[in-house]
Amino acid sequence: MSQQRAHSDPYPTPSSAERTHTQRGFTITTLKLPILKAGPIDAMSARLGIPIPEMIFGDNLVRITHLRTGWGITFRAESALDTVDKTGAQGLLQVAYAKEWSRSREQSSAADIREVVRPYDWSYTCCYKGDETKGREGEGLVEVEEEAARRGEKAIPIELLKRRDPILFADEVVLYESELDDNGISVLSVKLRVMDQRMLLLCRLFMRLDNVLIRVRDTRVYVDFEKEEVIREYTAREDKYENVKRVSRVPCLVSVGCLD
Amino acid sequence: MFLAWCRWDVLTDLFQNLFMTGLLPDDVTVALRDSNQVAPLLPLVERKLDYANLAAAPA
Repeated sequence: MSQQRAHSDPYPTPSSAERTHTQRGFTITTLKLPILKAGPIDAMSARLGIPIPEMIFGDNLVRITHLRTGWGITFRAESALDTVDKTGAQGLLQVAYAKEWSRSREQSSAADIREVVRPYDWSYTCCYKGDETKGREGEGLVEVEEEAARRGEKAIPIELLKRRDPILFADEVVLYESELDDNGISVLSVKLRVMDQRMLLLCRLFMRLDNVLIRVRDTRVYVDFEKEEVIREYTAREDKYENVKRVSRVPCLVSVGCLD
Repeated sequence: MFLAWCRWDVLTDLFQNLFMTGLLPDDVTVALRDSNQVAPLLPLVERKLDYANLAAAPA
């Protein structure tokens, strides 16, 4: 929390920035503040060891807390960026025109450039599942075995979420966004909705590198207030841009046009 | 919402006008910018599931 305060020092902290909702023993908090200024960005960059995305909402957060046990899960930008590959070990992506650019410079001095000074995943693809705070007696999330998960045990009950229960609290919080130097987009945001008996949170990274690759990394947190159960599901999806382009369809062109 | 109250002939005219102005976005381009449309099209490469029963914790 002290880190959070340090980030927000230069900013006014309007009381409306924080929204809190308590539902059957769980407290849900969202905090939305302006984009970070140069000082805090430099500090965060130094801590993480990588450059920071252009649009960084380092003060924003989403938190779910179970009041009786003290268990909680928090989503914030710095922790998410900490899960980005900072060494280039997982392979560095290249923009669509990289090969053509290299070919055109084979005869020039640029051809001698082989080493990247500071390799990191500049697409800011993270595998962020939130920061979990264990309960006072050590209560916390336990991984469901792969076989049990495949059988559908402890799965998020989609049918219950499809019901049109009144939404008592909802919010969307952006944690960071980068336009990848005009080569696409990488955006991490958290959306949540709270109903009377349950809630669903979705933390989604959407990364589209034009003409190269599309990635979606989803972390869903489902809370059943009555049973006091929490399910967290992390999924990683990706495919080549061309494959997605071939199969993508928009159901209604007219509705798209009318909304523009 | 718009579709609900709009008369079909008016809607057809609007569609035609939008189309003629060239402002109607390309369907595929629009889809590629919407994570909700793209996500179901992507193959799953990893899945992890965690579970906690906080009711079991001592009061």
